[in-house]
Amino acid sequence: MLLTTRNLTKHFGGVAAIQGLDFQVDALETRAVIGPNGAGKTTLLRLIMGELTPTRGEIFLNGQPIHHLPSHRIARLGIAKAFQIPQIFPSLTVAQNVQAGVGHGLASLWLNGGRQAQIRERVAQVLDQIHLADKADLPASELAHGEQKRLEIGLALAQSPQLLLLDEPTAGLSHAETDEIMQLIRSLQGKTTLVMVEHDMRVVMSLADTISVLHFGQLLAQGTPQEIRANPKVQEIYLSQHG
Amino acid sequence: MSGNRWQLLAGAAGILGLVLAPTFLDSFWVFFLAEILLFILFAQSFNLLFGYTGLLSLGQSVYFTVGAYTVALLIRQWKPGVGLLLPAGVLTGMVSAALVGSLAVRVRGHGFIIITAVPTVVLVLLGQDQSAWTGGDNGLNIIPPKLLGQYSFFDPTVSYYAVLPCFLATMFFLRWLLATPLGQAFLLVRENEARAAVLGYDTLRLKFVAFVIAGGIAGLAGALDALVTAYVIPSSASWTVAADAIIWTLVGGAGTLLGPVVGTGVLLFAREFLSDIWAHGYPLLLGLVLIGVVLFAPQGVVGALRKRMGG
Ligand SMILES: Nc1ncnc2c1ncn2[C@@H]1O[C@H](COP(=O)(O)OP(=O)(O)OP(=O)(O)O)[C@@H](O)[C@H]1O
Ligand SMILES: [Mg+2]
Repeated sequence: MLLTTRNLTKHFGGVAAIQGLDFQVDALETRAVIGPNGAGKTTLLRLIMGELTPTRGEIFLNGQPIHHLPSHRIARLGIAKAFQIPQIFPSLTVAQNVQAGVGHGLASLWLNGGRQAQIRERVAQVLDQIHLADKADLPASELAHGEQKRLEIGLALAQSPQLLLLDEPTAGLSHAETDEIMQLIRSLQGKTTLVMVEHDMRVVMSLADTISVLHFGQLLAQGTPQEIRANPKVQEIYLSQHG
Repeated sequence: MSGNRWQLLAGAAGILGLVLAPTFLDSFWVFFLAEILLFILFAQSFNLLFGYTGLLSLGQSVYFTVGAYTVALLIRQWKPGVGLLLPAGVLTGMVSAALVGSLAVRVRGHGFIIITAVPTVVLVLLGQDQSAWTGGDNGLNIIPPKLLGQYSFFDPTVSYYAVLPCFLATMFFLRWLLATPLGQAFLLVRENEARAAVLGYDTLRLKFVAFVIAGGIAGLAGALDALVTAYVIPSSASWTVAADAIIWTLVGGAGTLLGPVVGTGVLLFAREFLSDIWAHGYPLLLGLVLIGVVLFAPQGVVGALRKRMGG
């Protein structure tokens, strides 16, 4: 198992966003996490990334506990996250944004100074992957929403993570833009472990190896796309929500 | 390319002008220019924090005063040379900034501002209370050691040529620092601290490092001020002195190295010029300038000019 959570629990005041969750992700699989609004999907990713500390429970990466570590340490262990709402560096250029992902923390900043050529090459690679090479020198704030979403993923990709967390990578995108993101995710499958929170069933059904359904912070069901589609409990919460 | 060449040329001309200034200015203006240069460094210490790292410090006057008193007290005790006094001012500025910074960088937003402001009040009160060795409200007159064993700081030209190399060295240091990966990482903290942390940057350490370096620069400015004016006073730690650096930086343009140079130079000159002819002129002018900058050039004079030329 690449990632394991044991009895993971997070309370916000009286609200239990995640409740005693046992969650496992295999190396190199593509996992989709779905569930109604407020199910705790974003909270789960934030707990894994160290942005929140669990109220109870543990998180392990390759068997090592990580739930007590700050975000920057978790990032350096090879976990990266693309946020639901793009969190980019607005007044820096697109290339500088990607470069920020290639660089690391203070410890290696001086070493990075001596690796300029390698860094530039990696930045160019990522810019190609997210189809923003032609906008490299534009301030990130001038990008359209769809482009900002791609840059957001680019920041995470630039870190060359072993585990990539994606929080609603296609939220607010047009059909064509969604296709572009799906293509990007396909190109990562089998090379990087992916955990993706997603509302768009077209994306989930065509990309995920396994789907986990969260409901009130607990695992309601888990299985292949076929199994989940056929699961009556899942149908019920989705029907009751949309009907 | 040609833009870069013009910049280089303008920079070289500026440095040449500064080096030759005492040959064409009378001693009043030479002294005044020395003060402007050291106050530019003071403003840069705020600029490094606010303009580049996104940290609104209200307390840079503390490290300025620590640097100044380090010089004054060392002179009273042991009369060391300038070569020891200046590094000592930098060092105590850094150490005191490390003390405050280790706490301040853990707190975001208003908390940070308050934690940096508190020592300004503490230091002024402490200085007034311990008047036996701080001079209290009267301050302390000191006799600076002779530069290179023979040149007296009471000669404005000597003061000027002591300040100028420190000024140039600090400006080049900042230029270099901000181009390193470390300096670039300061920008990430300014732009989006939470994102920088998730990307693997130890933002607490980055903020701490910026805070300590800024403390060292303010300490240097204070040490130079003590030597140039031969005088130190606890009230220089007051937050109103820190606010001067903030105003000079904001008017000139935070987040640019040229901004504090322009802001400090123009506003100090205006204050000096107006003080002779119209006592209330400066505060009025400053108020108008601040309103103008906020409304029409939120990135300061240099920021606005740069935008116009770039676009
Ligand atoms: N920082 C917070 N403070 C207080 N409550 C929070 C916080 N973050 C999340 N919550 C609550 O925790 C629950 C789970 O929220 P979360 O954002 O994880 O849901 P989600 O599954 O991502 O929903 P969505 O599909 O709308 O993005 C919700 O009830 C939410 O209101
Ligand atoms: Mg969410």
